[in-house]
Amino acid sequence: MIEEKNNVLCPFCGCLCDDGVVMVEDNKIIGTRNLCRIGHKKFETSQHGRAESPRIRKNGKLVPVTLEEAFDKAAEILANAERPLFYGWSATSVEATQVGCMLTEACRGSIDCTAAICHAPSLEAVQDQGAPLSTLGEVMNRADLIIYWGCNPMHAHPRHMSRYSVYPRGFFRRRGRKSRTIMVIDPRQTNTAKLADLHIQVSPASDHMLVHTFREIINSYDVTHETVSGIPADAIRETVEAIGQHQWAILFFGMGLTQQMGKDMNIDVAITLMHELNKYIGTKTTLMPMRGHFNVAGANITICAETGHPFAVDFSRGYPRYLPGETSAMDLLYRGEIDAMLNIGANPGTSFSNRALSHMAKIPLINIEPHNQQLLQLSDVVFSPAMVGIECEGTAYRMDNVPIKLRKVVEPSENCLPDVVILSEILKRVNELKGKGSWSECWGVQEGNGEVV
Amino acid sequence: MRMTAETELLIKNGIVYDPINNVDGEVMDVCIRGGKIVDSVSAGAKVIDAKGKAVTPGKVECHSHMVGITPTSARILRPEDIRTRLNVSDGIRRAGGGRTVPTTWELGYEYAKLGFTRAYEAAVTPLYSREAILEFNRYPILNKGIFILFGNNWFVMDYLKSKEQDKLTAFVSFLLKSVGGYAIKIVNPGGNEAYKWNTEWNCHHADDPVPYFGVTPREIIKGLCIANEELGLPHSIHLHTNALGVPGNYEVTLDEINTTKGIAVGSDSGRVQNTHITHVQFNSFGGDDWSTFNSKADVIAKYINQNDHITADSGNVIFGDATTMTADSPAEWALYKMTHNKLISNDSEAEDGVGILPFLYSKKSPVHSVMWAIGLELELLTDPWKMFITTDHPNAGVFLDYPLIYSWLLSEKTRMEEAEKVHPWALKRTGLGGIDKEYSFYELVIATAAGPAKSLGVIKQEGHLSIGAKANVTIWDINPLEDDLSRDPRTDKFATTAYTIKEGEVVVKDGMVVNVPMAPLDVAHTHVDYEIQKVVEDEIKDKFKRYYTVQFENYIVDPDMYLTKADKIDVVSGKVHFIPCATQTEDVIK
Amino acid sequence: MEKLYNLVTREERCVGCSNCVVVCPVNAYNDPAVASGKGPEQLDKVIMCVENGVVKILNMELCNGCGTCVMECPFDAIGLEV
Repeated sequence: MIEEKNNVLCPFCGCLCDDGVVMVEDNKIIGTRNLCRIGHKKFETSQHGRAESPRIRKNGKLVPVTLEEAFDKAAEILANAERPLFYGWSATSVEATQVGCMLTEACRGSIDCTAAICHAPSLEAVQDQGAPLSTLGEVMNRADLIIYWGCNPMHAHPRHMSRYSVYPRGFFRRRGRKSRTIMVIDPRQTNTAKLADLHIQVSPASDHMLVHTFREIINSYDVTHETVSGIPADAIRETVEAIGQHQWAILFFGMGLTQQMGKDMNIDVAITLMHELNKYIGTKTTLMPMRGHFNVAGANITICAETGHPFAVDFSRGYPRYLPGETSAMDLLYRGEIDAMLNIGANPGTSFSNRALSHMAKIPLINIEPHNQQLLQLSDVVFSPAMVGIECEGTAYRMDNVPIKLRKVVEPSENCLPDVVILSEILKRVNELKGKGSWSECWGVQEGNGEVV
Repeated sequence: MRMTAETELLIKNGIVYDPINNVDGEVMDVCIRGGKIVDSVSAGAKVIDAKGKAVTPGKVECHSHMVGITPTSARILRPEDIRTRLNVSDGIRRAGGGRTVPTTWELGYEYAKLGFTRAYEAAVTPLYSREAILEFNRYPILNKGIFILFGNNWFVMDYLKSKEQDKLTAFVSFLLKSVGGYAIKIVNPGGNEAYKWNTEWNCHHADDPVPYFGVTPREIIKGLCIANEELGLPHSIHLHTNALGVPGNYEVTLDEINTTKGIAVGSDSGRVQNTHITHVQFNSFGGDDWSTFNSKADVIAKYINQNDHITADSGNVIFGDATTMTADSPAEWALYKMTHNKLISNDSEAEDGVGILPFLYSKKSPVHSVMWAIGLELELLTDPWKMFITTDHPNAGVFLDYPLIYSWLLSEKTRMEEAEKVHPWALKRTGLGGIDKEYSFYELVIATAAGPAKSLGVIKQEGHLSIGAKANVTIWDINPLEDDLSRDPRTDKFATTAYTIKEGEVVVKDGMVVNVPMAPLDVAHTHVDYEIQKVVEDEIKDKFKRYYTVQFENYIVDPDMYLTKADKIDVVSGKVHFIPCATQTEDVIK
Repeated sequence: MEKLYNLVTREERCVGCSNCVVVCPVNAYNDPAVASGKGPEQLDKVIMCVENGVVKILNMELCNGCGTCVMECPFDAIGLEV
């Protein structure tokens, strides 16, 4: 009998679409509706190629073991490490990350999430300039100018335009696409650019100058060069004027600004531009980073509420320290400081540089990961968790920081426990090994949903 | 021996201050068993010698920004803040720190050290309430509740526009329980919706219409107050009036709090007011502009004294670094233009907004000095049963500095010493210099414990030391019968308790956190006629598709996942019933 | 009446972005969820939806051949064939 589960959240990208329909028969996912190709793929492949039990590397090979043995081994590695790193967090639940923070503190380690190689520059820029933000519904209902800068939603966030920003008939934008102007700023003629009303093909690596030139014009200076960033001065002047003709503008931005020459300085000046549009031009303007993972925003928010800082938090001195560039994951690995690592809800096997990976190859690595990804070759203890949003519940935060509950559509296999349970079990044993008794319990690990007290 | 909830405790020979029961400095024993105050205990009870020490009910924080997207965005914004105050974990406390925006754990510990046993999160927009609940689950010791923002909500404005009060009431009932809220919060009604169109737009006066919806702040305040009383919620509407921070705004304040006069209180929770106006200091400004800026605290105080439908909290300014954070986005925009400090603003679809900006209150500033004096004037001129001590943490000051405020209230000498250190406007533009009143210890207990407990509708359970009350008791190293607090207000002795007892468990001893239980969240459940409830839910579901980008079913906070540790405050026909959560909070250190 | 055109889909090119589903004036008129960008709730009243990650034509007879979907697909995954 085929069951249709409604209002399922898609645990893939920062869009966190929550109108998914998942068709389940005999505990098998057999189809989806409304979800894009990548969301569908996540559901479709979720139950294939899963390990039946945890594994430990013995004599160079990963062999299946009991959960108990795996928990013990993982705890032993972490409790005896001097400088462990707890990395990932972007593809798991808020509840798991809360336990992750406790574990990091108990081990006097460092905790970092995938933002460190993604939107960390955005967070750093916010820490200098603040930011005018809004939720996606504000965009849907009010925006008449959408700017995509350094991002390609048609590839990375396929439903972004149809669900939130461009095509929906917003409360105050009833003609949908026709009520809005789309501007894309990208050196390439991307599939998103094909849909734009205006495509500004900025020269690669020169976005900072272009933003700055916009600011010059708004601050009543004139463009000082004939061409800036590959764009003729007249076109720049017309663009600023066109922006000013709109009522409500939003800037969506991605790696084209954050992981390119200038990094946080690009976002810094973009935020200032937004504030100035509000102040001088009277076009209500907000911005939003296009968060990649479905819960990277949740990782930042949770780590910050728990420890005081949003990522790259180091507890080696017993209190939280935050020095991006020093305490962030890749930098710690580059300096060879880390002597044990736990990876969860991320895939550094493909996203980290070889230099970082070559250090990871030398240290014990605990990997909590449902499928056999590249990192398996370096892993020493591997857990196959219940996938959050498919096999267990949890909370995730959308790219505009709205928290929504992830649903469970199928039952996991017997040895696949939720991340929050795996981490709690490891934490319990770490505390016993470190002789703290039940200190962790005073930190209020909550019951309910299989979490361990 | 460890104190658990089942221990019998005998607080012997303390000097008891219990304003709800008119006990003003009487030496008596307080007996505790099973987490409650009882009339006697056995000989095996653990004895705390409280001779020469004041014994009071636990304090109640009626307005503070602690959890949710607002303070956490501020935490992200201000890494420099946590570095000003750092703590290493000691096996009982988590590591952490922070001053204006501490981590959630730090907040619980430090509030408990100051003698608080209950705190309310000042403003949460429904779309983000899941976050506030998740973060409150990481906020130890204190009982807690969430105020939910309604003042710029599209559904509220729709029902006001169509003049359907019964549907508005049904909507409020539905939303509060669906998102785990305790009370109705109204911030800058209408103005935040205007701001979403243009940062310069706002509703400055009670009758300024909201763009598109056309309703006015007055209508919003009145409609929500009527809904509040029809539902019989334990607390009244919690109101942040329009024109906050603008010279001359006292007229708007008086106008708006007068709007609800005459609406009868519909709850038996013990409260007398139908409107609580918050951080009134920011809304007691006189003058036409900053050059003529002066204090109208006396006018506001007079109105509040003469009208029983109002309670208030002060919002005292304390000099130093603060982080302003409020749903009043236009006010934050004005501060941004003034200071160019880093501003985060976040507009939430169909609901409300938020603005966050670091701010420094300087003793050299004429305006800040007047604001400092206004807060004190309000407290000294208003009946303490109606004016509670807050700093709208962390907007006007940090809660860690509450003892400074107490010192200025207890001792005229101390406050005049401070007045001499600040800008002369503090005395020239206000009436503070002419006030020689000093708070007694008893009045301090009213303004920090008994008064807020009554206003918030919890006195059936706590806020006093009656037999049967929750044993939330604090013991102080202060002897008000002998210590001359007027000469030396003993700020250090107010900074931490000798004992903080939370439902019979000692959680703080001699200023050290010794025990960290996790208390439940209070959620208000009200009821309306089934027919109207059905109609309203259908209407909301229909509009939801157009207003929001989340599904209606996903907007509701799943109680089985988020509210397993929540106490229900069930209101039936105006009568409050307390239904504790199924799993009692267990003693967590074994 | 026989139609002069047919909607054709090229699934291998489609990313399931739902641009066509949402922009379609027929879908928007018939299903308020689609009008506001959400997945369709009334599958018998919409021309197409996204199933298993790609576009799927459900009710060709509702289509009037305006071609808006074709215009808003950057992948050429949907077209009108005369």
